[in-house]
Amino acid sequence: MKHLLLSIFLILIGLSNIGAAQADESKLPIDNFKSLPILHDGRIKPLDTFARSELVHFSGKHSFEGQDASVWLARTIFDPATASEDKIFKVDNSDVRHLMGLEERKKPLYAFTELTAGLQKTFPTVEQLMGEPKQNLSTEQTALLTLHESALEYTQLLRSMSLLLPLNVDLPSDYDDHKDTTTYLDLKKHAIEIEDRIRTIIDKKGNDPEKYSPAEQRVAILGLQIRTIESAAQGNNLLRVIPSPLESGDYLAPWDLVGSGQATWESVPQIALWEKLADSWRDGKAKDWHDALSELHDLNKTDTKPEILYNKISPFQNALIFYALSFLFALASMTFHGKKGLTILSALTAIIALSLQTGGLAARIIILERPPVGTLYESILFVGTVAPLFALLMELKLKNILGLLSAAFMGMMVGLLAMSMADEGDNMKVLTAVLNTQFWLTTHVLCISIGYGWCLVTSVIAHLILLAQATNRITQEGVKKLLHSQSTLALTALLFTATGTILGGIWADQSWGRFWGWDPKENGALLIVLWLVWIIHGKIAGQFTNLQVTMGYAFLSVIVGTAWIGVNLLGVGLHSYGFTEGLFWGLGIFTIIEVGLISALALTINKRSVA
Amino acid sequence: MQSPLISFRNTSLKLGQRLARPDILFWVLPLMMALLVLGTVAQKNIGLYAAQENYFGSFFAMIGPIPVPAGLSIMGVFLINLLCKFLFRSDWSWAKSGTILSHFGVLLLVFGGVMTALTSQEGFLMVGQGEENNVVEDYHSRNLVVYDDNGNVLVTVPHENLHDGLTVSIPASRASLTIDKYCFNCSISMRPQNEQAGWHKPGSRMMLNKAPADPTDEKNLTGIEFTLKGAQDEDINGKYLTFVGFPKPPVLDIDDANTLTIAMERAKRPLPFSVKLNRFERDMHPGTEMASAFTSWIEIIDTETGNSFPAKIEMNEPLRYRGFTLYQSSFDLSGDKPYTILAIVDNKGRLFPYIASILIALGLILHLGIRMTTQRRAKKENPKAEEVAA
Repeated sequence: MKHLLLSIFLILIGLSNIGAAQADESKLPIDNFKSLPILHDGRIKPLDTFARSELVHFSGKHSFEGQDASVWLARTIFDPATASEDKIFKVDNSDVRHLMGLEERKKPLYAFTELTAGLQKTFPTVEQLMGEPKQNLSTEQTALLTLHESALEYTQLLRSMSLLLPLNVDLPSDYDDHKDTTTYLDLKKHAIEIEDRIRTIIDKKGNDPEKYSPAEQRVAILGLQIRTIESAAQGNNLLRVIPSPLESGDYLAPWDLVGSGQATWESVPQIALWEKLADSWRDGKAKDWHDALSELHDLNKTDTKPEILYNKISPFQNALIFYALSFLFALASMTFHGKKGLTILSALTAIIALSLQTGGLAARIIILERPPVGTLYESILFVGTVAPLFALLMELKLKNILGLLSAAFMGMMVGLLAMSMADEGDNMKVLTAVLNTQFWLTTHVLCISIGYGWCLVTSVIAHLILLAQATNRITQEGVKKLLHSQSTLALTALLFTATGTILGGIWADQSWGRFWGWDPKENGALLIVLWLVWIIHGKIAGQFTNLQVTMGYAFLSVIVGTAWIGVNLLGVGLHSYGFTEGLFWGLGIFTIIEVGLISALALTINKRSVA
Repeated sequence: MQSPLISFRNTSLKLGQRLARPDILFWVLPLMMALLVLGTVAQKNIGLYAAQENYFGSFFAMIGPIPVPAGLSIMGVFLINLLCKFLFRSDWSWAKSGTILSHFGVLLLVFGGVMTALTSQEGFLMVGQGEENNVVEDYHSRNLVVYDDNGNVLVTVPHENLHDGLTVSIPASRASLTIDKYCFNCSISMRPQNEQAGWHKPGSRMMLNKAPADPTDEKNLTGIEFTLKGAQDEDINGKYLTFVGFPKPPVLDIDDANTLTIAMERAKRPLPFSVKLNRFERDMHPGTEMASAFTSWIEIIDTETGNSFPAKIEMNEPLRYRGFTLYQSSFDLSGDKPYTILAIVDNKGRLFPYIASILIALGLILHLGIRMTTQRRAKKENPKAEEVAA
């Protein structure tokens, strides 16, 4: 980051050295390119995932002008001069746009070439901001810093294959191999000799190039160009696509391989194939493109197909659509007094959604080779699957559409929450050392997540009981039956949350030597247990009326939201994910709505019973 | 007239019945939840350790100027209520067996918590690769320690007792030191030239300043600035400073017979065995700076029992030996050789949560099972269940 300005300057010089490609991208099939493996963020994934996450990071979108993210990536790495004109940088903050001297547009998307002047201008400010703690930065300062970081990352991408791309250089006849194009790797063969010649020229004629002969000037310029390309590529290790010849499981970026001296005879074919890919992209040669990709796949045995399929199907996003349909059918079925066809449609669509989610979770287990819940986002995906499943099981027992309605509603709501909580791009993360344990991820994490799921079902059913009573759409016998089901649900929720909480304590005892440390997440889990114990015992002891018990269970949604997600906003403790302003306000508004809704329904029920 | 024994029994029963009343639990639980929320939110500003001390580990907490019951009082009432309920109000029937089992589990859990709070000791042991160590340092307690030239401790003052103006006399000598400035968390700065008179090095160049306590207790740099008086050689008298982790604490020849070392350090206690670090490994997720595993290959050397054996300690896989548990806590790779930092815990109540959790879960499962069986039986007896939705 400190050398940002220099890097960007060198990139611009570097770009001017690289010839623009004449690709006819539409001719080249991208599927085999997408599935090439890359090591990124600690795991091997397909280029498809990498391309999506990078594009989302820069532009907030999964595709660029209707093109697949992988097409954009191929253009960026194989044809950087053209790609730098792609308007992919989203600059949302108007103050940052003003600071950067960017023109106002309907969609605030800018090309890298449009940003460079602003990046240079604002660099002194950014240099100062880098020394400040992040929490002290204003929104626009953070946005400016983020933009500079993104630009730096983008320059790495632009230069990642520059050692294989043709250069616009004027070669002295001694070094001209009479090839159509010259790449850095071609020049590298002569680099030592060129340096020696430059040294001799300087020894003889000094540092002033004007004193050199035209032939000597060409050698000096060539030496400078080689050094410039090398400097610009220093630390370029983002595109780790070549398996390390020395360390199993590790991958290296092309520049890393050449620069680190790790290149061996085994890596030569890989480099050659990537060069062939770059050439065929530039010339639009579909056969060469296809052949190079096939050979690269033969050399790299890593199977990325499950992830490609996962990306293609987008199971959790599509499940959301099916839950929405299921919800509509369930509502329609209720409106038409339980019409069988609509109920079946609602059940079918809910089952499709659930199957998609289950498949998605299974795919994540296969890809990540660990249990499905290791991050907050993954816990939302898991709860979003088990909660509708429990509600559907309840429907099997009650057969009154309420289970269907609950399943679809929870599927939609938790699905939307998952979408809002999804990190930029790739949300399949490797885990820190303490979380890297199959046993505890399977026992404690799944148990507590299942507990959250039961709590949500209990809360939704409680809402439906209140709603049905307030609108007078239920008999006394019906209320009695539902209250009984509600109690069973609450007890099940208590079983899982209490066991999950205690298992968490035992994990903590195994990892840190203390069963209970009053960490915010631990306290959150305990809060749910205490709330359930309070309501259950309040009911048994006759302290609460049936209506108050149902209100308490309905409010469980807020307790779960606070314990599950809210405590992370404190930014302290072992489970902290940092403060997210949007999430804070979202949770606040949700709490206010729930308090208002539950109170309004209770008041209506009370009025009705008095009348 | 009743015998005193029967009278005592009746009174106890009456008192027990009263203390077992469910309305006590009904009011204690919201208090517990409120305290939990307050103590959790407070961590944002004062850190986990201070919040734990103020809200959960004390009888009363101050909210502004108002004292409110804190963790120990609330948990005390809860424990008495649950114990009395268990003893005097339990319905000892099969139908309630699940509830009884769960309640017993909770009692064990709380009892284990009390035992842990009273008996457990935590600290850390730092060992360099190839080295051996048996001295456990406390995470939180710091002491002012005065050593003689043989390394014997002459004076120990816990940091809680240190304050500006405190004078500490040195036994068997005329010397004493007076604390001019005590800071639980010190920041270090250059001492201005016009304030350097009377100071000995390195205090003449650097000064300690009182800084706000860091929310992470371990990060607080505790130190003192003090004046030494009564040394035989007048030149030795004067002003000094020392702080936790200071590599060169003042060493003072106070008279012909005594040389003192004045140190601020974490409270130390010896382990009954030594730990030798043979190798430390840190595995990284490829291509990242994120560790995927930490492993210490150690050797336990126990001269008391004559036991000596190699062992491996990893994250989530501690070593238990002679009642102590050794956990992979941290490491230091900044020096010439790797150091492992092992958390050492001695907790007599460690097994309680394990037994309690099994009992609570079994109790809840039993309760749910009995409830469902009863429901099914009732349904069989009355098969005409009405439709729910109107």
